[in-house]
Amino acid sequence: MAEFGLEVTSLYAGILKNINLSLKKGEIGVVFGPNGAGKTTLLNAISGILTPKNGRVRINGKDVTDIPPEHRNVAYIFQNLALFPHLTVFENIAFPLKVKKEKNIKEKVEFILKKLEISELENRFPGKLSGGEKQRVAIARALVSNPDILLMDEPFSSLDFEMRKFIRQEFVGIIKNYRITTLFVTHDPYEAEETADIIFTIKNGKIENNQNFEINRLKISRIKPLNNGMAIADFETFSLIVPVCNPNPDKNYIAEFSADSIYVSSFKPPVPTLNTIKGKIVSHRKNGERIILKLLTGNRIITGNIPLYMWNEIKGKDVFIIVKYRGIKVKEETK
Amino acid sequence: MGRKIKTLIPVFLFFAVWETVARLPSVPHYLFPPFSKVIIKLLEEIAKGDLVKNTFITLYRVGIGFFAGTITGIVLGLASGISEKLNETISPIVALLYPIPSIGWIPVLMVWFGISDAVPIIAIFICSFFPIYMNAVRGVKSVDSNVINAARTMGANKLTLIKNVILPLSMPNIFTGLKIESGMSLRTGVVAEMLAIPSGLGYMLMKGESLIDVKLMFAVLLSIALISVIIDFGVKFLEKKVLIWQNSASK
Repeated sequence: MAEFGLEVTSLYAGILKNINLSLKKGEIGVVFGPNGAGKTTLLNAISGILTPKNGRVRINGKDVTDIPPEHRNVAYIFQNLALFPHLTVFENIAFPLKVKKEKNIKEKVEFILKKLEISELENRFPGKLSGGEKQRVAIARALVSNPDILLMDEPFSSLDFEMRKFIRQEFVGIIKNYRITTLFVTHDPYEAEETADIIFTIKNGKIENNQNFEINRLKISRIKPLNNGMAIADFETFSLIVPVCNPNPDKNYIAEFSADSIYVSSFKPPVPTLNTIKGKIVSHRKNGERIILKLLTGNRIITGNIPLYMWNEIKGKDVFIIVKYRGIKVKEETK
Repeated sequence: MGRKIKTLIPVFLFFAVWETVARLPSVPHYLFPPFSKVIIKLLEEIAKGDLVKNTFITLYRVGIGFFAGTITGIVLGLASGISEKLNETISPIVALLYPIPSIGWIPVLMVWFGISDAVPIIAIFICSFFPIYMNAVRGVKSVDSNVINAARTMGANKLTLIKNVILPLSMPNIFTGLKIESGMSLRTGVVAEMLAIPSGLGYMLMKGESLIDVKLMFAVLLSIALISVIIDFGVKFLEKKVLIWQNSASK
């Protein structure tokens, strides 16, 4: 039995140069990067829509590079979802089963409709569905034929922020439940962080796993405005100076800063430095040329990201964490 | 229902004005007969069987020419929409021939086929083929490539893709062509009959002219108008049925 659900080796296609990535069976991989980086090209090459110039694609251990998309058993959710506008929800979901001449189509479709709680939509046409409903139909259509791999190209981009978060969480739950190897493209770091088992950062057609975008979100227990658009944010056991204009002390705020906005050192800075707090390393994980750290400070866990060469210096020691003032964003907490 | 009656009011008004103007003392009835007399003539011609017979002859020619033109236009249009090579071969020829009015072919067809049903049928074929072909090509090109790719990744082969995705999604464009050309086909058929053949509604018009029977001519024109309205209604009805997904919330 093959260990990997997806393996891409030395892939050259369109803008992509020498792409290597692998996903274990049932893992959710996120391809993260700016627009035009080659994210969609990568999905197209894996699905077979695009023929690569070079390199191999293996799905569940089987080399599919020369197999046309219709015989790869891949489900692909496009950015615009690509529902068939002329077919009802039921017919949309039944489509992959019909073309594969599967049996018990009605039962299978009804099962997944029920599972995704969209049974009441079965006779509706996509043109009359809301964004969230369309999303669920697209997911149902992708899952119904039991694909070996699920590819998703920014499927939540058309939704508003709140809906996006809700659907995303729901989606991750469904995917995990079905244990389908998934490769998911996004340019939203929050989305990447929340969804991924493993993250591939892609830039100018190359995978660069040296950037970290894990976001720390800490609830501020008390906020005291200072002059010049600053405030002291209290986190019970430590405080940070944060950039915020006239915060309302009666409202709840959250401080957000990425793992990249943290500097970790084994010794106290020789000169007094803003936002220096003491902490302990709870866990670490290698990610390309970087180390991702989970740091405990007071009763809060903070994620940090340091270059590999610094690891030896701080390994096993208590550390000083410096949170870059400019990297902090203060947001009102939304319920 | 109220809306339908509202649409009919101007039509009734038009007939009323026609009746009134024709009944003015200075207007001779043999040149401009009142609406009521045209209706009486129409009923007489129906009773005689002449009008019914010639209407069926015209409809038969229009039916065959329009059906053949439509099917050929859709098939070739879909093929050209899918295959860029075929499109590059056919489209320049279509661009060259399309501007020629279909009735312009009638003299040539008369020389080629003589007095034969082939003349109006081919003229109608030409009239319906080009716009439907062009709309079908446009229809295929307008199908979202993601939808096609989605169907492919789901396992659809080329034939399934054409039958279940490309053709249905091209239908809105094809119907645009059909709506325009269904009426145009009838007009082309009548003109061909006027020029080339001693049967059909066109021939009846010419007969009316040679007998200076203006009532007969008006009765035939009224029939043509009525048939046009029915054809138009039929195509729109069909469109509503076929493109149910564009208008309805559900099936």
